[in-house]
Amino acid sequence: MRQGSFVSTRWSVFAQVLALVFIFPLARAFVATTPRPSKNRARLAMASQLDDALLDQVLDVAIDASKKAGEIIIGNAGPTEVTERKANSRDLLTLIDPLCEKTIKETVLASFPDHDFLGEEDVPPGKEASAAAIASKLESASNSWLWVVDPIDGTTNFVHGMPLNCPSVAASFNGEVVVGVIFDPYRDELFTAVKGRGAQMNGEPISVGKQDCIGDAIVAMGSPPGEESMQMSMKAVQVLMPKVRTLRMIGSAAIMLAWVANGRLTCYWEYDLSSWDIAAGALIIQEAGGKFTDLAGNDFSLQTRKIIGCAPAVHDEILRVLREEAGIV
Amino acid sequence: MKHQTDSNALLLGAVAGAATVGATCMWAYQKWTKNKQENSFNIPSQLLNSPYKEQFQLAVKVAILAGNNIALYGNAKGTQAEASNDDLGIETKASAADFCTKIDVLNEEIVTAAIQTTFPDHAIIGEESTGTGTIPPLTDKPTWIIDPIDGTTNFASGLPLACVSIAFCVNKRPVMGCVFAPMTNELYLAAKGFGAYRNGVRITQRQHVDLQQAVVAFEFGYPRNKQAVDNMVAAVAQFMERGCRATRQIGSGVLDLCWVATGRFSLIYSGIAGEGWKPWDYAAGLVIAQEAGCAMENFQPNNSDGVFDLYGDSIICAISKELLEECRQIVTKI
Repeated sequence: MRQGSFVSTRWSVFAQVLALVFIFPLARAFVATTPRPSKNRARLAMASQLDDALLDQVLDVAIDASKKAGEIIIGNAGPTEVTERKANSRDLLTLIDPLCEKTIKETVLASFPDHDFLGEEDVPPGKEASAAAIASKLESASNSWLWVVDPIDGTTNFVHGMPLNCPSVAASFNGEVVVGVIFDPYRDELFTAVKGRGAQMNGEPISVGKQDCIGDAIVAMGSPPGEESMQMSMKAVQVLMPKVRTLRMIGSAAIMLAWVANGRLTCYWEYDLSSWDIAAGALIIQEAGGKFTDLAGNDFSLQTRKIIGCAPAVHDEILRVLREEAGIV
Repeated sequence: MKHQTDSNALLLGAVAGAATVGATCMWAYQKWTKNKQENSFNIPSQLLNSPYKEQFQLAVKVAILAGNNIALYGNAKGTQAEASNDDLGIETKASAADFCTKIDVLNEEIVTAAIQTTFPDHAIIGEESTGTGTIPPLTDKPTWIIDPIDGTTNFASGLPLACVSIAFCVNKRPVMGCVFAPMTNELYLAAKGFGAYRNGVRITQRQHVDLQQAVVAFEFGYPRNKQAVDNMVAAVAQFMERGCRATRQIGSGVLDLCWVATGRFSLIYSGIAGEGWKPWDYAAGLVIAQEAGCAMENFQPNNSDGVFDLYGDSIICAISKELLEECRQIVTKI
C-alpha cells in the first residue's frame, strides 16, 4: 500500500461507500426537482421548453395550495356573519390573511424548496412598495421560478361577509406566468390554466364571452380607494355608461378576472393593481381566448399595474373609449 | 351439470343482491342529501307562528322551484352543459339593456299559478304581466307582488347574483317577504313583527358605521342620457370624496336590500336620475330589511305613518337611520 494514496486506505473506501449510499441519491433528487438557473442570460430557457410533467406538478401544487387556503376562508366566513361576526371581522382578517399565505407558501415550498415566493402579506401596503417588490424579485437571479400569490383577494368583501373573496396563486418561470389558479371556495369553482393548455373551471374548458359589440358588454371595474384611481374610475364610468350593457363593481380582482375568463363578465379593467392580484387571472383569461393587455395595449408582464382583460372582439373598442374619451392612459 | 347451474344461480343471486343493496344505498343517500338541502330552507317556527304561515309555505315552495330554473341556466352558462339548454328567448322591453328571458316568464307563471290555486281571491302584481304598461295600484285586497328574476342581466350572463322575490301585502302594506338566491344559496324570509331570517338564522342589525367605514352600493339601472349619467357619477364621486370604505354595484336591487339587511353592504341607494326601482323590487326586501332593523325610505322621508312608497322612484336603505340621513344629504343635493 503506497503511503498517502487516497483510493487504497480503509477510510477512503469507507468514504466512497458513504458517498454512494447517501450523497448520490440526494444529488439525483436535487437535480430532478430543481431547474438549474442558467448563468448565461442570453440563453435563458423558454417556458415552452418546460417539461410537461413538471408543469403538471406545479399545477397540482398550485391547486392544492389554493384549496387549503380556500378551506381556511370558508371555515372562518360562515353563517356567523349575520349575527356575531361583525365586531371581530377585521381582527379575524389580520389572522386569516397571513395564515392563508403561510399555508400556501408551505405547500409550495414542501414540493419546490428552491422556488422563490412573493406574497401580498410580505410587502408593505402601497403602490410603490408593491411595484418595487416584484421588480426586485424578477431581478434577482436566485431562481427561475417565482410564485406570485394573493392569499385572500377581496378582503373588504371578506370582512363584510360577502361570498366574493378568494386565493389567487400563480407560478412564473423566467418572468413568464405559466400556471395560474383562482379558487372560489364559496361556489367551489376552481379556475385553472397552464400556458398553452387552455383554461378550465372545475376541469371543464371555459372561454371568454362572444360579445362582438360594445353595447352587449358587461364591464367590471374596481372601486379603488386612491385619489388618482378614483378620478380615473369616475371618468371611465361617464364615458362607458352610455355605451355598454351595464357596469359591475364586485370588489375582488381575482373573481372579476375569473368571471371574464368564463364569460360571465365581458371585460374587467382597472387602473392600478399589484402583481399578485393579476398574475393568475391574466394567464387564465388569455388561455380562455381573451385579450389581456395594459392600458396602452401592450402585452401583460408581471410588472404591469394598469390592466384590461376582455373578450377579444371588444377589447380594442373599450380600450379606445377609455383612452380617447376618458383620457385614461 | 347441476353443479354448474347451482354456481350460476348463486352468482346471479349474489349480483342481484349487490345491485339491490347498492341501489338502496344510493336512494337513501340521495334522500339524505335532499333532506339536508331542504333543512336549511326550513321555515323558522317564529314565522310559522305568524299570521302568514300558509303564505310562507306557498312562497318558499315556488321560490325554490323558480330558483332552480334560474340555477339551471345560470350555472350552465359558459360551460358545455349550456349547449343542451334551450336558448333564453331574450326580448327587450323599454330599452336594449332592459330585457326579459323565457325564464322570467316561466317563473312568474309558476308563482302566479300556485297563488291562484291556493288563494283564488288574492290580487297579483307581477313584473312580467305588467310589462311596460302602467303598474296596477295596490288595493285593500290581499296582494302578492312578484319579481320572477331580479338581476336578469346577471342571470343571462351566468353571473351568479340573481334571485326571485315574492311579497305578500295586506291593506296596501308588505307584511311578508321571501327572497331566494339559488346561486349563492340564500333564502331570506321575513314577516312584519316576526323578524327576518337568512337560511333559518335570525338577522339583526346592531351596529352603526360611519360613512368612512361604509360599503356603499348603488345601481346605475338603464337611463343613458348624458345628464343622467353625469348626475349618477357625481353622486358616487361625492361618496368617494367624503371617504367610504368601498363602492359596489352587483346588479340586483333585491339582493342589495338583503345584503344591507345582513350588513354586507352598509347602504344601497338608487334614484338619482329616475333610475329608481319598481314595487316588485322593493316589496319583499322592505320587510326583510326593516325586520332586520335597517332604515328604508325614498329620497323623501316616509310619510308620517313611516310608510315607504312602493311606487316611489327612489330608495335609500341603510343599516342605520343615521347612515341613511348621511346618504340622503348627498343624494338629494346632486
